[in-house]
Amino acid sequence: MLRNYLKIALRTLKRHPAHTTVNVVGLAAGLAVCLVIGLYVQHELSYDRFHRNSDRIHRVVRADTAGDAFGPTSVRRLEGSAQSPPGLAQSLTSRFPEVEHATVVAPVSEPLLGRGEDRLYVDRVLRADTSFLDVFSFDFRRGDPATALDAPGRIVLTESLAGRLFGTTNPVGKTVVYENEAEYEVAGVVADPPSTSHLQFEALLSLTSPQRDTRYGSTIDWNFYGDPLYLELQEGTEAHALETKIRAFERTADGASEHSEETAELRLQPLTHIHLYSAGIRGGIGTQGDIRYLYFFGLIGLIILGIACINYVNLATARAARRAREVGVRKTVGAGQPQLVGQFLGESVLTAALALPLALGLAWAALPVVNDLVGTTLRLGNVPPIFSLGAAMGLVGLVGLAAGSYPAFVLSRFRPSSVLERSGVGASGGKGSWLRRGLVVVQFAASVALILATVVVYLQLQYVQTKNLGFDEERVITFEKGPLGDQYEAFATALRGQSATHSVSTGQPPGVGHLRARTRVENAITGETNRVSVLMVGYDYVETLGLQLEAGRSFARDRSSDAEQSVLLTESAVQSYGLTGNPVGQTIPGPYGDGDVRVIGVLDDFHNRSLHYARQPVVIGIDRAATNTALVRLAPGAMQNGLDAVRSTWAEFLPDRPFTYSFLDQRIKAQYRAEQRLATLFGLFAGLAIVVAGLGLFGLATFTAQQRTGEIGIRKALGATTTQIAGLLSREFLQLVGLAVLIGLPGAYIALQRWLRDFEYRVDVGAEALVLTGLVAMGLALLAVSYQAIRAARLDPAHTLRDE
Amino acid sequence: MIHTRNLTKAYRNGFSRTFVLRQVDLDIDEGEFVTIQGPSGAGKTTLLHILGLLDAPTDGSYEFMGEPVYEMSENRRTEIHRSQIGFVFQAYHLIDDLTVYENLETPLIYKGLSGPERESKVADMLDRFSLVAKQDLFPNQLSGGQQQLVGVARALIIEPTVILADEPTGNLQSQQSEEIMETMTRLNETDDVTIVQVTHSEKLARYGERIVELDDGWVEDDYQIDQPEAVKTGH
Repeated sequence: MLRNYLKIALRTLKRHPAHTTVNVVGLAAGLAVCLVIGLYVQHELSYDRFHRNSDRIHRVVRADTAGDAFGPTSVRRLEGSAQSPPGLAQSLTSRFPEVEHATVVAPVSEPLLGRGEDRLYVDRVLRADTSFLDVFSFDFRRGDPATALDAPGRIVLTESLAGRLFGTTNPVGKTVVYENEAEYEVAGVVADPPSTSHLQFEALLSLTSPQRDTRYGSTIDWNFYGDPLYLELQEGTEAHALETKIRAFERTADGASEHSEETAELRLQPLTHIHLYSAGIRGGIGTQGDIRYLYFFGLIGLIILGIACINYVNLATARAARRAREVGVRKTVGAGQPQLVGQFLGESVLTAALALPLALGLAWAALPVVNDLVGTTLRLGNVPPIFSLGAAMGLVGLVGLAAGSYPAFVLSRFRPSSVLERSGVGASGGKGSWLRRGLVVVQFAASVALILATVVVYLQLQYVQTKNLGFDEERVITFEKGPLGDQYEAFATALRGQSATHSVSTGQPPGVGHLRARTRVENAITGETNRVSVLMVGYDYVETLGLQLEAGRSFARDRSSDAEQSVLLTESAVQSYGLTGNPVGQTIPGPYGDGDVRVIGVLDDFHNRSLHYARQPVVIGIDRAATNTALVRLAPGAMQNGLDAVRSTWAEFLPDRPFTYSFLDQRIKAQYRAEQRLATLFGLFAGLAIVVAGLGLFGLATFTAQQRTGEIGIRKALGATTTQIAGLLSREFLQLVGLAVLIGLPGAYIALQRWLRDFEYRVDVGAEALVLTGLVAMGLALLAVSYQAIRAARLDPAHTLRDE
Repeated sequence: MIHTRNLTKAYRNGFSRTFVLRQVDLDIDEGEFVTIQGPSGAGKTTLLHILGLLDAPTDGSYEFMGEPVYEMSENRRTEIHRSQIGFVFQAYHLIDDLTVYENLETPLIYKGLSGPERESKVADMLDRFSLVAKQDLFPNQLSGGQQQLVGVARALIIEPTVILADEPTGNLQSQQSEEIMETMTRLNETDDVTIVQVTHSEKLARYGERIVELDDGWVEDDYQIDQPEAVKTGH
């Protein structure tokens, strides 16, 4: 029986190569998208599950509760900070027996490591102590994890860093120079963290004694934003119950009541949630995924697969009339409905199976592109072969069933008495053709939605990247000045003297700012309190960044009062303070609450943070704590010379430390990387969707043209022109696509408006975008349909009529 | 084996009903060779489809092999198609995508026969109808007569108790027609297969032993050919 089905199925597929191609190629595209997205989803979901006790490990989060109108935040939608106050680790372990281990992990930004004469910057280094290796199960290759980090001056290298520093020799016991000043003894080698670890590192440094004392001290410094704290709970501990106890302790703890201007409470975030559910959490370690994108991509994969399945349904039901006779005959010789359903499902499953190798090939070809885009290392071989084979076969079965069940149901229900009348054609399928039209509309509505999404995401990207931020972000380089130490002033003076540099300053650059540096100010008139961002900067900041001075003056080195008692306000900050009249010369309370300061100038408002966020009022003062970021504006037209000048000056001061820097405009752009990826991925997906839907339309047009050959002949004999006939054949399809455009656009428009709410500043999606999307969809549909329509219209009527 | 009483088939057509069969009483015994005759639109094919359980009557009763048909489940009907009834069609209705061999094999597959059993039965049939040389050809590679021969062989391969033939020679030239009819007669005489055929050809009706004349859904006449003065049934 099965062999007979298979034989029939194969012959049917072979006899209709056009239909088979449309179906196989469409399903392959859909399957390939699903495979790639499946791999991605599987990768994202497997984050941090490799730790032995992953279900017992939690991260302590200081969750914001202010302004949360929806009651207690769920653990999946936490907003707050991953930075726990120093001393909390010790308090929690001593107070709560449920806490088996607590470990504080501190990221170290790009330290310089060296061995002998070699120096290299290392991207990701963490500071931790022995408990880190108790909590997390990183694979120790050399050395003893129990003691590796239990004393100051120890370092554990990953295998790849060990290879870079020591080649093939065993590094354990050897010495690594840290920042050209301290010597660390290599106490172990650990396997590189798997790509599914949110904690990525190349080396682990043990804590210095003072670090140990503050992090694991017995008093909690609630006012300090410390480092991420991870807890491993005793087996069988109910995390939620412990969380409640911890919060009760937090309310009664010394100094906790006034510990922050924010209203915050301690929460436990499961380790396995960290990667996907931390979109609202600041100060964590590592890059984050976002669960929304998983749903999103999953949905898109299903949409494209759905479009391919619809092709199958449409072509199969369109051809139903031709197969009706076969069904009738089979029924009269004893086929029951189950056998016929089996036969037709066999055909659809076989089609899906034929599509699988092509899908695997497509996925294999697409993965490098996707990896590049999304920053992953997905490979088809990442999943165990048995599992992937099973998954692939399951997928083929599912797709075969999804595509084949409706046609199988329809075809197997034909009554022999009605389809075996002499002519042999009975079932015209009036209902079927309505269904087909409906499904075509669905396909194109989905494609149109994806096209519009691509257009809108792209427009928004253009908008945020070209919007005037209120300062000049071009030709500004930023770098850490820390290594220069006391020599910085001399270095800056040396740079200022060169013609290739325009100006030199320090401070947090605008455009990439954080929310954290804020203060509350009271409006002198209304008494309201407002939040104002605080920027502590060096001299020449205004000039280096091209901020627009509207009134007054900028900071001057030769006025001693500027260093302590003067600030610049942006226009909106003037309003926040409630200053009336000319603000220049007025005094206001200092941003850090230590005495009054005088306003010496007013700046135009500028965007201190990415355009996801509202522009905030800013108060700027001269930096007393010496920020670590140096800013240099290069002279116009002399980019390379300017860079060379900075680099060679650096080398004069620090010959054994390579110069690393970044361009401010690139740092600003990098904040939109997620959107950039989205734009590219949307483009890819939308393209695929429309191609698959277009393929289906092509198949249907081919079928219609064949079916109406006789009618076309008669019309031509009666004097219809080729154009008229081609129009007649194309019209219906174009009407359907037009309807799809009308349905797809509003839905997508609403969804995209919601996406745009992620941005405080968003592009106006005008009628042009909608019209453009509609035209693209109609144009592609016309392309798919017109070839067959024109071919049919050009047939010689004498020829076609004779056939009838 | 076939008993119908008051068999009526009507289609609703707006407010009126169009009758295709009107109160047909028909009794056919095992081993008979019955020809149903009548002009186009008399209801011959509908009657044959109802007798073959492909269609259901609007009214009246029908017993097939002593079993009331209206009580039969879908499965039971399929069962009967698999073992009792063979169909032969005017348009042959072979499956285009299958070879002669596979067309003959298909009913046996649905009947659930094992591979070797099927092989021997198909070989027998091919031999009997001199189709051995054609077994690997597809239907469109055969002449009409050859196709109908395959059609008859396919009807016969399940060893049915009755063959229902709807204008089996309607598309054939006279010489081929005669061959087919002779085959059917032989089956009736030597294998004792009951045959009900529909035709509007006087000449072909002669091959049977009994003629039922249908007109506008009524049975106009029902008589044995050897006994021309058979009782006329009126209405």
